[in-house]
Amino acid sequence: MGRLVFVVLPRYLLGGLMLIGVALVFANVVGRYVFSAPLFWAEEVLVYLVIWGVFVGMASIAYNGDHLTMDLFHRRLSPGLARGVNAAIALGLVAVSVFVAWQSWQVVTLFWNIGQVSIAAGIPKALPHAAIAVGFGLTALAVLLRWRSYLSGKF
Amino acid sequence: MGWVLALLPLALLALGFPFFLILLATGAVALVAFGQVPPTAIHQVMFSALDKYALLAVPFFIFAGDLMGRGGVSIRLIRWMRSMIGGFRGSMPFTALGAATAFSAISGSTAATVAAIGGLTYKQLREDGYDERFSTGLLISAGAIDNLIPPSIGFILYGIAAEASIIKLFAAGIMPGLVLAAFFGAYILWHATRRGERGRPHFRWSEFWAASRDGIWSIAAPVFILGGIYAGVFSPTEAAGIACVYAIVVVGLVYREVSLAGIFDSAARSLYLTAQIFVIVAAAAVYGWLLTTNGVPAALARFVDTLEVPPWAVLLAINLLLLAVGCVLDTASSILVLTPLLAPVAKAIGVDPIHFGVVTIMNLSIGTFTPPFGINIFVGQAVFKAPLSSVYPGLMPFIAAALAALAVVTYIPSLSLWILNYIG
Amino acid sequence: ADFTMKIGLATMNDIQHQWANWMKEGIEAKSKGRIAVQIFPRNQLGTIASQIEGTQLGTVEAFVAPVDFFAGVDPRFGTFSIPTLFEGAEHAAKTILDPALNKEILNLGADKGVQLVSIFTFAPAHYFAKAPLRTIDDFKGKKLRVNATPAERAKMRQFGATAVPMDLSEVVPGIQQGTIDGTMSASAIYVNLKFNEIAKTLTEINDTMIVSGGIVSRAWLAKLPAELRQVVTEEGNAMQPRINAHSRALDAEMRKRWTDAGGEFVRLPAADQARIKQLLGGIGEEVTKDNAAVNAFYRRLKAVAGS
Ligand code: NA
Ligand code: NA
Repeated sequence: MGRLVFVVLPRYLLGGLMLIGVALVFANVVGRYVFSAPLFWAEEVLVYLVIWGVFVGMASIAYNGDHLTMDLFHRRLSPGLARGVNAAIALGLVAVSVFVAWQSWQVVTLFWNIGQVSIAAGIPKALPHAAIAVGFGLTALAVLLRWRSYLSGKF
Repeated sequence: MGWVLALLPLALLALGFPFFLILLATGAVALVAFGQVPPTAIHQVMFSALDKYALLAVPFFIFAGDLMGRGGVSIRLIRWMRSMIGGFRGSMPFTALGAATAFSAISGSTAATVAAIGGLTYKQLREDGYDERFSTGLLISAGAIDNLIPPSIGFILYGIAAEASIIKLFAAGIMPGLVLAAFFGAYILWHATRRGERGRPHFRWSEFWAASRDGIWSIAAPVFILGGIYAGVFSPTEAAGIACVYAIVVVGLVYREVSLAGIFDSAARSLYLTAQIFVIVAAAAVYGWLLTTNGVPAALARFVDTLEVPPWAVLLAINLLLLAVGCVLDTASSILVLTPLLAPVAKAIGVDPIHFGVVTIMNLSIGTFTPPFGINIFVGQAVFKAPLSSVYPGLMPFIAAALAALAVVTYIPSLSLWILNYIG
Repeated sequence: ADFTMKIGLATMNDIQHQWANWMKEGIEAKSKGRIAVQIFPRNQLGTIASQIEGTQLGTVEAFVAPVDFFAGVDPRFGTFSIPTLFEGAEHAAKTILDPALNKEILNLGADKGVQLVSIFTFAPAHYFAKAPLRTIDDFKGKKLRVNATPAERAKMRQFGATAVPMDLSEVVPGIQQGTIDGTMSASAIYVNLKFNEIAKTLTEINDTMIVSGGIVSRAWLAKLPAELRQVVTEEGNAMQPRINAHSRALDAEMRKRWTDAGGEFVRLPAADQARIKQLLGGIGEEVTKDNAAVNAFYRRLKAVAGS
C-alpha cells in the first residue's frame, strides 16, 4: 500500500508529467516557428507541471529516505546519538511538513473561494498551489509510515 | 533574529538534517517567532521560487543528459572526441571540461550544465579510473563556466538590476569564462601528471572516421541544439526541451538501445532528481526572503561602502562579500538585491560597470559550488549519487583554481573589456 | 515603528517606483513614524504573480504593477489596455480620474483581498523590432512578444503578426537571435534595458495605454488601527492626480533619453494611422463579449472616455 502510493504511482505521475512537458515545448516551438501559432498558455502550464512533479516527488523522496543531506559528521556519531538525531530529523520532518501543509491549505482554499485564475491559461490558481499542500501532507504521512527506517537510518 | 538565522542552520547541518528541512525549519521558526507577516508566507515564497520559467531548463537537461547516457549518445560522442585528443594526458577530464565549456553556449544556468554534462561524462570518468572526489569536483565546478559564457541568466539579471547593457555583458563574459576554464584545465593537467598519466599522442584517420561514422547522430546533437538557438528557432530554455526530443528520437528510433519503458523510466527518474534539488531551491527561497526583507544583504553592502581603504581592497572586500552571500543566497536573489547597492560603490572607485558585472557574476558562479550550499552541489549530489564527504573535498582544488581565476579577472579589467571595442 | 509596509514592484526608476517613493514619504510622515515603509524594486520579493498573491495573503503589504497583471484577480482589470480606448495619456488620466468612475475602479478586487488605492497611466505602449516597423504592412508575419491577454492577441491578429508570450528574461537574447522579431512596451523599459543597442526605432501608434495600479493588502489593512488604515488609503487616493501628471513628465524625459541615445520615434503614414481605429476598434467588444460584468465595465470605461 505504502509502496503503491509513495513509489509506484508517483513514478507514473512524474514520468507522465515530464513527457507531457517535453511534448508541450516541442509543440510550442513548432507552432511558433512553423505555423506562427504559439501555444500562449504553454509557459504557465509547463511551470505548473514541474511544480506538481516536484512536490509529489518530494513525498516519494521522503518515503525512500532520499532527501539530500550533508553526511560529513553524522556518520561519525555514536549509534545511540545517531538514533537520537535520526528521531529529531523524523520529528522535524513531520512537524514542519504538517505546519507547511496547513499554511498551504489555507492559501489553496483562499484562492479556490475567490476563484483566482492564471493570466494566460485561465487555470484556477488553487490547482497549482495545491501541489504544496498535497506534497507536504503526503511527506508527513510518508515519514510516519517509514518511522522505523528513519530511526535506524536504513531504507 | 540574527542569531537564529545564522546559527540554527549550521547546527542542524552538522547533525545531518536534510538541507531543505534546515532551511524550511529556520524560516518557519523565524517567521512565527519574529515575523510580522502571516506564516502563509512560507507557502507563497516557495511557490514563487519555483514559478519561474527559466528554471525549466534544469529538469529538461537532466532528462536529456540521462537519456543520452543510457542510450549510447554520450559514449559515441566521447569516443569521437577521444579519437581526436584521446592520446593526451588527462584527455577524459579535458573532454568533460571542454564539453561543459561548449555547453555554456547553449544553456543559461549552471545547474543545467552540471546536469547535462554530468549525465554525459561522469560514468566514463569513473571507468577511466578517476575517483569520486575528482570526478564530482570537476563536473560540479565546471558548471560555473556557464554563467560567464552567453546566454547567461546571471548577466540578464545583472543587466536589469544595474541598468547595464545585457549585450555588452554577454560579450564581456566570454573571455573570463575561458580564463576560468583554463585555470580548471591547469589543475586537471597537474592532477593527471601527479597520477602518473603519460601522454602518448596518436591520431589515426581510420579511428577518427570510424568514430565519426558511428557517432554522427551524437555529434549532431550539440550542433542541432546550438544551431537552433542561434538561428532563432528556439530560446535557451526551450533548447533544453528540444534536447530531450532529440535524445528520445535518437536513442529510441536510431540507436534503439533504450525501450519505450526505458524512456519513461528515465523521464520519471529525471523529475525525481529535479524534485530533490528544487525542494531545496524552494526552501532556500524562504531563507533568502527572510534575509532580504530584514535588510541583511543591504546592511552588508552598506558596510563595504563605509570601508576607508584603497580601491583594490574595496574590490577584494566586495569579492569576499559576494562569495559569502553566494554560500547561502541563490544567484538570482543575490544579483537582484546586491547589485544596485554594490554597483555604485564600484563606480565610485572607478570600476567599469560592465567589468563589475563580470566580477559579480563570476563570484556568484563560484558560490554555486562552494560548500555548504550551492545549487551545483545539489545537482551533483542528486545526479551522481555521491556523498558530500567526498564531494566537498573534491571541490576544494577547483575552488582554489576558480579563486585564482577570479583574482585575474578582477584585477585585469581588459580581459573583460577588450572585446567591447569590437562590438561598438 | 509599529508596522512595516513592504511595497514591491517589478521595475525600477520609473513611474511605479515614484509611486512607491511618494507612498513612503507620505505614509511615514502622516503616520508619524508608526508605519515604516520599505521599497523592494526589481522583483526582489518574487515574480509579479506571486507578489500579487502575497498581497492577497498579507505577506506583501503593497504592490504596484500594470493593472493587466491583476486580471487574474478580477478580469475587469484587463480592460484598461484595450486598444483605441484612450487617445493619449492625458485623455486616459482624465477618464480614470472621473470621480464616479474612479470610485468604481478603486473598488475592483476588494472582494479578492486587494485594496486598489491608486490608478495611474504608466505610458503609451510603443512597438519595437529589429527591422523597423514603419507601416502596418511591416507588422505582417512578425513575431512580437506581448503579454498573454486576449486583447493583445486579438490586436496582433489584426496586424497580421503573431503574439508570442515570452518570459522577460528571454526577450533581449530572443530579439538578438531572432526567436522573436520584437516586442511592445513603454519607453521607460526600452531605455532602462538599453534596447537602443539592438535597434533604434520605436513605432508610435498610440493605440494602447499601459495603466498601473497600486494595491494594498486588505488582510494587512485589517490589522491596522482605523486611523492608520485611513492614512494609507488616503495617501494613495490623494496622490492620483499628481502621479498621473508626473507619469507624462517622466515619459517625456524617457523619450528624450531614447533619442539622446541615438534612438528615433516613427509614426505610421497618415493613411495607415487612420485605419488603426477601424482595425482595432472592435477588439474591445470581441474580447469582453463572453463575460457580462467585464463587458459592462468596458462599456462604462468607453462611455466616460467618450464624454
Ligand atoms: Na551560458
Ligand atoms: Na555556495
